[in-house]
Amino acid sequence: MLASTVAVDAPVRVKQSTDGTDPATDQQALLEKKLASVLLGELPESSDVRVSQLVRTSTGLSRENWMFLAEWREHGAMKSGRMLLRRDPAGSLLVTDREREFQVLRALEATLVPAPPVRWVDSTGTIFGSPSMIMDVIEGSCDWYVLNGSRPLEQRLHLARGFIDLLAKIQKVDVHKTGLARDLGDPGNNGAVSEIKQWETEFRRVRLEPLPEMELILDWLRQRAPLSAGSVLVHGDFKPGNALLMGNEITTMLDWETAHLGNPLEDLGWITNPARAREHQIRGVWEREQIVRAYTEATGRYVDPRELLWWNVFSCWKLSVIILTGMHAFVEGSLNRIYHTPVWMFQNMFTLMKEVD
Amino acid sequence: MRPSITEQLDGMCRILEETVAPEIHSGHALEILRSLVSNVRMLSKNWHSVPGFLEWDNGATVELLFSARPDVCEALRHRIDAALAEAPVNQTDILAVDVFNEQLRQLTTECLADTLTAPVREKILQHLSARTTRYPMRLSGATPKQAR
Repeated sequence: MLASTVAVDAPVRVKQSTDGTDPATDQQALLEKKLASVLLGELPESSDVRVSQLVRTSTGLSRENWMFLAEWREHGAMKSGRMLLRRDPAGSLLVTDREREFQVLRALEATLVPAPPVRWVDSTGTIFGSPSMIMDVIEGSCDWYVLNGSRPLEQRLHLARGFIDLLAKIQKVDVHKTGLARDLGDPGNNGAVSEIKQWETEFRRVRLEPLPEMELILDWLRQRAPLSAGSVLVHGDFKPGNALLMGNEITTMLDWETAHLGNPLEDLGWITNPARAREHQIRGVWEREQIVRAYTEATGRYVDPRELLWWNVFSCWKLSVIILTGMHAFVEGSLNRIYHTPVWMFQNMFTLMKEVD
Repeated sequence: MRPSITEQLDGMCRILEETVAPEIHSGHALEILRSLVSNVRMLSKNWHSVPGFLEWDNGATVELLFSARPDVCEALRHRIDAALAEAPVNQTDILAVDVFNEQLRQLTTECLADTLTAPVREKILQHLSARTTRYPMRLSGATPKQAR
């Protein structure tokens, strides 16, 4: 349902306390009231909608995540559920479109890919002050470094394989039947060029100083951009830090804000990127060789080692642009985290480029 | 000069961690405070390396631009000459040295887009690679680890 169909008051933003008192309390109550109004229009056959326990979670670097408890009466019986308001912050590491993310999540509801059910989107920020969406909270825990955590090796390997199986499921989504090709746009066999263009635009927008390293690498990427046989659904930030776990199983994949159609090796390049090894690899037993073999078994796709290295370089370049976006937002005063020029990433890219050449 | 810059920065971290942090009850605000403290610690450790780094980078980049000069178009060659003629004399004027660094790196970027010979391009790449290892402002461990 679109925001315009819900009758509520003016937009609201909850501000953080800055002086030791709690000036956010009144605005928080107003946000709860607005959430209740929105849900009243969204939940079918509902009345007596109440919202409570609203709290901003400390996770999520790109969006504000507000958890809350919703209670409502439906056919005479009280129901309840934990929900999440995902709202664009004033400044972020990523500038993405909530409407687009909403479309992806809606499309995934008809597939085997486990993703959080979404209920409502305010793509223009009319209600909550900036673009937002409401989704159900799925039970589970998230651990960025679960593959190198305290679990026994056997369990960690089981999860590692689970992540590759999940990636295969994502790539098997029928992008035409689900409407994703229409909604997201299909670059065909030119996914690499399409991604370079998109992230170069962002790079030009956010860079604060001359960065010959980034320009040199961009030129290298352009000259060697691979073609693919076709396009698949790409998550865009596939990692344990964006998954929920229950026991030893992956229950949900989160954060679809950078999802798009593109080259099948793009997400694999993100996973095998040496700069993110601590998140995706287990030294000696689950490294590039094992990951690629598992991917080929799960998808039936041959992986060209040089092409995968290209995607590793691209992943580092894209991540560098994301960090530069954070730097830009910090300097303009809209982000409360400090980011620095990602020089450590430059070194990674120079090393990978030598392997290709 | 006491407290020294390092002592002041370290002292700020101590006060923020021991006095301010225990009074903060929002997990979100506490995480931000921790990331700020990490940054101040990085500054405390590395601020004194910045002038030397810029001086080294400027010197090496000037040499590279001289090497690239014969390969580039006339307009860029003139801009390189003009920039080198305006090089700051006083190396202790850190702001001027920093502005000069940015100017040199802009020219380097433009040289890379021009028709450089392979050896000159390789020399630039080698310098940029060396620069990444010497860069003093680097913060590690900024990614969150907590379960959600």
